[in-house]
Amino acid sequence: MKKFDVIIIGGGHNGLVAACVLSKKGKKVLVIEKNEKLGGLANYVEYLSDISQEILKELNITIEKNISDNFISALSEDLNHTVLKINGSKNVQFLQTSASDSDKKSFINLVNKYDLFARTLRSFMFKKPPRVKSGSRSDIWQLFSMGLKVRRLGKKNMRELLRVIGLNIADDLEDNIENNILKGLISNEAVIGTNLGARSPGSILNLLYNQATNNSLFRINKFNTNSFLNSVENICKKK
Amino acid sequence: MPKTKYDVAIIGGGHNGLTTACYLAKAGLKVAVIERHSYVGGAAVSRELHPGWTYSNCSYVCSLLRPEIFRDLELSKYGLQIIPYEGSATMLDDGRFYAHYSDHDLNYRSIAKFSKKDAEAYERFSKDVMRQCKIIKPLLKMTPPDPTSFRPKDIMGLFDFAKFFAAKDELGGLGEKEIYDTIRFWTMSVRDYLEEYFESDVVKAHMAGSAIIGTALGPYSPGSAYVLLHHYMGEVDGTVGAWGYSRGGMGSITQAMAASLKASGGDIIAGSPVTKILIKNNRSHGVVLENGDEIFADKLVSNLDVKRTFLKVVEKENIPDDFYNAVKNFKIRGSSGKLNIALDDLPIWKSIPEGDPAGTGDLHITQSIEEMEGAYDDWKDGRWSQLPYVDMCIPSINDPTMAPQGKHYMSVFVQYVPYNLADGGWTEEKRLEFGKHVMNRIGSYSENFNDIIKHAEIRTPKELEEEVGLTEGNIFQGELTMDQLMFNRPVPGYAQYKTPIKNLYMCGSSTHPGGGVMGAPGANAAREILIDLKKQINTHYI
Repeated sequence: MKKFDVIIIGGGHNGLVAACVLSKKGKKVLVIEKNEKLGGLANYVEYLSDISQEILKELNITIEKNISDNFISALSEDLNHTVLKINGSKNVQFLQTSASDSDKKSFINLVNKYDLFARTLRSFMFKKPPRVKSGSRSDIWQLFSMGLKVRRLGKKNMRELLRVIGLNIADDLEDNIENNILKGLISNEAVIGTNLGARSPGSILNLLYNQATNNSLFRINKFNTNSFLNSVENICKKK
Repeated sequence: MPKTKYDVAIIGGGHNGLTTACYLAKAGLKVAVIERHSYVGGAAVSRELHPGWTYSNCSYVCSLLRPEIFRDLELSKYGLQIIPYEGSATMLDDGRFYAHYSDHDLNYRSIAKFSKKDAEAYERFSKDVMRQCKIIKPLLKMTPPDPTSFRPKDIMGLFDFAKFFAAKDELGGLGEKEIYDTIRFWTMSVRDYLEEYFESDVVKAHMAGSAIIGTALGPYSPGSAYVLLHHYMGEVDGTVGAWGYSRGGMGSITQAMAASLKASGGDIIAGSPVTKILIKNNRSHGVVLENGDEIFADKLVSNLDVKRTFLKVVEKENIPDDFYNAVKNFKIRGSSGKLNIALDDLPIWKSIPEGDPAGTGDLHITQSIEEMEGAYDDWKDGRWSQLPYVDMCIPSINDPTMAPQGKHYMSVFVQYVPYNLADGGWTEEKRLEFGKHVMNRIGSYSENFNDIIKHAEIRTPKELEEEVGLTEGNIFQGELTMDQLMFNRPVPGYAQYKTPIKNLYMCGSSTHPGGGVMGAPGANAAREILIDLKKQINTHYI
């Protein structure tokens, strides 16, 4: 009979990363997976928008990057389609659109606004969520540093963040943009994968969450999923 | 009109404007309330719109009015009497009805008819919701601090706020689990919240009604659970969560306030619509009335909603662009309609037997939360709900002053009705069609309803806006969603009852803590003005 320090049930990408980190620390780890192929849901996407640099560094792996341009098309019934070229977290270019100049400007402003907020929230994602009243110093420090980070946005941005975090995406879009296709492009990112509608409060928080995890408002094809899964799998097996 | 100068003039004589005025007059200030109509009251009025009948034609039941305000303004002395009611019911298509009683054992048996498990769960539910009511209570009286400011007052306010959560349990702070529960409660949907307690569709639907009344949210919308509080946190004679009828209609509340104001030496200038607030060097000093008269005051307070104040009576060049845009984007959506009906006789319901106490309180028509969400979908599509959620009551059963002997007055609240219809705007024809649609739905639950209607006042959000002045006909002076609550209400940075214009304040439900005939925004605004004037009064509230 074999005995392990840690057994991980489920070989999805999170299970694999946990296994890698633990085995790097010298623990004897077993990953148990139902399917033949490891990777779980990650097998269903060809590319990942982002993988935390912190994790790549910790595991000491490099992943094949997709350097081709990313395009997003939103089709319109009247054939006035909108095509965007996405480069980096907030560099958005209109290749084709029927939207007015002021709408295009508002669109870019919104993308930048969400990008700023997402980056603020992103820094919390790689930390253990603090307990609110444990009394432990590290929890208090973390709550404090979260508050500080939000406060350092400046008065205007902090007020806006505290407002939109509970708002629904439809309202924020209607306040700023007229073109329905552009509205659809953004609101898609706020409702994808949830049971929220565009009018559900909290949909902007969902958008910011997606944006923070992907490091971009629009999901871009940056990292090859297979290359990531293979590297992680190899590390696990080597140990 | 003689040229008098007031210390403070309040624009709009709703219940909040009157509350502010009463407290300021009590502090010895020379106060005037300027009201557009010939009568005060805003949305808390009693009106004889059919000879012999008194309609509470806007708000219709009372619970939220803060008891400290009740005592401070001596409202009992000026004739206000609240009559608690004993129960409420939801009528079902299959001829059954779910009854909710204020009597504990009766209520248990009633729920157990639908589900034994739910009857047990109700104890847990009411304990948890009452706990949330207790948690929010001190927050209602608080002027929300500005979390972005470094002024000592705001930092102290934030500190007080943090203390409330972070104080040691034995000092009355919240426990860790309570903090998590509170965060969940404030952000989740009422449907998800109720699913954690109940299994029966009708029990859930009965409870969920309170979360959608007056809002542009559906029962599946996150944040709707919080709206429950705006219907549970009130009290009648110390019974938390109870509701009652104001004897003589809701106007009795504001009439008693007006009498209290006059007794304290305040003036009411009725029949005087304000068209403009006079502003010089970013300071307000008076108002212009429709007839051209001017009234001057050191400080002005607007009881109008924030949109009406800054888009209609303050001229745009007087306010900063940022503030103007934030006001323009304030969410204040009409989602409710109201029918006020004079009845020749008491309606006979197919399900509720005559004399059952459940028939004397509010009667709901809804089958399930899914049906309510469908009603919300209709609203989003720009039409009135095909299966509207209906909240009716017949105040004349408990209060015979509302109708001639043997006759009755029925108030019918309808959720959802859009402010704008997708197929062109509202017309007289469509208004009547909407009324008929609602009456047909009610009629199908009654043996005699269709035959006993003598008169019906049918109100869409348009009528509410025109008569009471509430923008888009929103009953809360602005949506009660997290983006517009606490320090975000009405506009981030201006939640302290002040505005970018010096000497101009806000006291309506657009400000914290929001809508309902509560009086808290009015009393909080009065407190801020008194602090600015360095005046003190000794009352229960302030």
